[in-house]
Amino acid sequence: MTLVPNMAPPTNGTVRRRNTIVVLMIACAVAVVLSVSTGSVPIAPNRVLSVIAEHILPWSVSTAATDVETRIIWEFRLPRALLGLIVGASLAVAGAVLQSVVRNPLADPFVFGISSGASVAAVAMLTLGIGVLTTVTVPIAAFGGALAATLTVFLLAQRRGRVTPGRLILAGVAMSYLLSSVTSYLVLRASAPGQGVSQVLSWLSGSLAAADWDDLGIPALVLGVATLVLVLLSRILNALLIGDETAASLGVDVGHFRLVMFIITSLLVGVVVAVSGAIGFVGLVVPHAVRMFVGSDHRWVLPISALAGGLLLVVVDIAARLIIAPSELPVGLLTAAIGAPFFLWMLKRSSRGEA
Amino acid sequence: MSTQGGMEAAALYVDKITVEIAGRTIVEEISLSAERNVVGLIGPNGSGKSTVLRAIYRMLRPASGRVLAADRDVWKSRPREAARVTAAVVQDGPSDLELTVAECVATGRIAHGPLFGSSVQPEDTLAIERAMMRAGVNDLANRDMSSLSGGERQRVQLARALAQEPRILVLDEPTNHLDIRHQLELMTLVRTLGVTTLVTLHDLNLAAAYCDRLVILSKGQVVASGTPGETLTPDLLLKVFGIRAQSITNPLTGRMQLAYGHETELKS
Repeated sequence: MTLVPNMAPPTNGTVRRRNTIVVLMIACAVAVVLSVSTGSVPIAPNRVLSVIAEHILPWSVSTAATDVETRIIWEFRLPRALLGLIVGASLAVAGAVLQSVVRNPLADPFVFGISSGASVAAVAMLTLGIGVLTTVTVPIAAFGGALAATLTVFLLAQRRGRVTPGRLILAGVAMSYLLSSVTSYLVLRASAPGQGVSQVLSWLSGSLAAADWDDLGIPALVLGVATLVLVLLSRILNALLIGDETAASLGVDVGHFRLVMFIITSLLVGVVVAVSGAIGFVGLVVPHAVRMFVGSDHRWVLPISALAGGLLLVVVDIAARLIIAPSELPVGLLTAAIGAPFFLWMLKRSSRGEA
Repeated sequence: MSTQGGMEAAALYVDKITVEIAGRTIVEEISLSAERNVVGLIGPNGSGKSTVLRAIYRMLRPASGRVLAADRDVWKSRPREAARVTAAVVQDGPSDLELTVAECVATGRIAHGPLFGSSVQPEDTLAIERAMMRAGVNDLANRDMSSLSGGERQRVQLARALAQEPRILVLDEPTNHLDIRHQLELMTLVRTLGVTTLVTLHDLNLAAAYCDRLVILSKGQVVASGTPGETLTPDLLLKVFGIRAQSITNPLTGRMQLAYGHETELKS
């Protein structure tokens, strides 16, 4: 973190943080409109706005857009852009919470193996034909897989309650490898009869392309409720940054609280992985950048990370469609390309003086 | 002693606690008490000092025995209830994620007000400001914790504990890593707080100078307790710490002090 003492009175900090939120909200809205107008058939932003207005404001009448454009905007691109917001926000919030809970800035849903845990469970449902596939059952399975992976990695990475960066990364990487080989096995096994494979492949690499309105409800609900609960518990998340011993003396049941946080982050990650696959490094990069800008107080880090994470993923998803147009790259590929070097840079910084 | 800030000292009783870690007994049937004064808990490395404190601030549940703070069993209270009576300054390792001083002190209010409370109540603000004034860190409010010196950081942790408005304060080697002037300043500050204080110290002279009573631990058991003059006898110091020592009067402060040396370097 910055070593430059910030001598401004606290009110200035608050004003700056509020301004950051307003600016990010506007940027998210602009990014969504740009995302909707981008694609194999470009549509002018003003037409995008008029179609959106027509759908959400019942009294607005005529629209400049053709029927085809209206369908493209409303049925394909808008849900995709909104899903990008929700997924990016969920991953960033989950990353911020994990980093506090294990007191380590290298924690992230992807590094932790949570995303791979969610993937395995969801792929198992899709390919093994367990249960009924709905927009409710797949997220639940993904949540279960995410939670199991989180708890396993945490148990492997901790030593006397402290999670060291080295152990966390080793445990997380090992878990990710193990789980992705299971995922691959499940996909290959299913590919003989050719059942559900295209569905599986679309999100193995992490993609928002398959989004439709039905996919948005559960992730949006989980994101909203979880973020609200987490902001209300932000003092306790702050206390964990000081350390477990201090948190215990402040009246926090540390073991219990940590478990609740793992459940909430698994829920956040599980439901978005069920829809969009494992998109890596958003949860690592975003909270880190946010902390550099507004400090570590979770009352601000969580909502600002949510907005910045949503913005980042929508913007990267635009880029994913432009780079090799008319084809598109899986968005997870691009976030990894941005995130992995960043992760290595942080690893170099944090490993100073630590075994 | 003063009871400013609405804090009133309460009695602390540790009643025959035994603490085990991974099946190994660390402290056995330890009893001690403190009321309205500063009690030093001293002993060589590994004697179980920090373990006793952990059982008091609810980090480590004792296998048997009770800890009573203000007449309530700490381990039968809810965590937040216990934290409204007892606060602690403990040794947590450094973190790569750092709060500002004001944010750190504000965590002292977790036990007060609603559990789901991110907004700061007027009484919280008041308690935070008062705690920072008393610990002398109000000028540091917007500094990052990582930019502070060791002495400043320890005073911030003390301010955080005071923001809890505790009636009992537990300090785990608060003078560790501080230079000599900051050690004396911190112990002087602790004596002015007016809450029941239990403090572990390595430096026997600090213990003799700043504690009303001492409890001496060796191999997880209490071997002596009483005033510094009663407990820090040459016999005990030889037996427990393995040093030859003699108590003398500090010519500058008039307080008791120990002169000691390793066996091999004594003159006679």
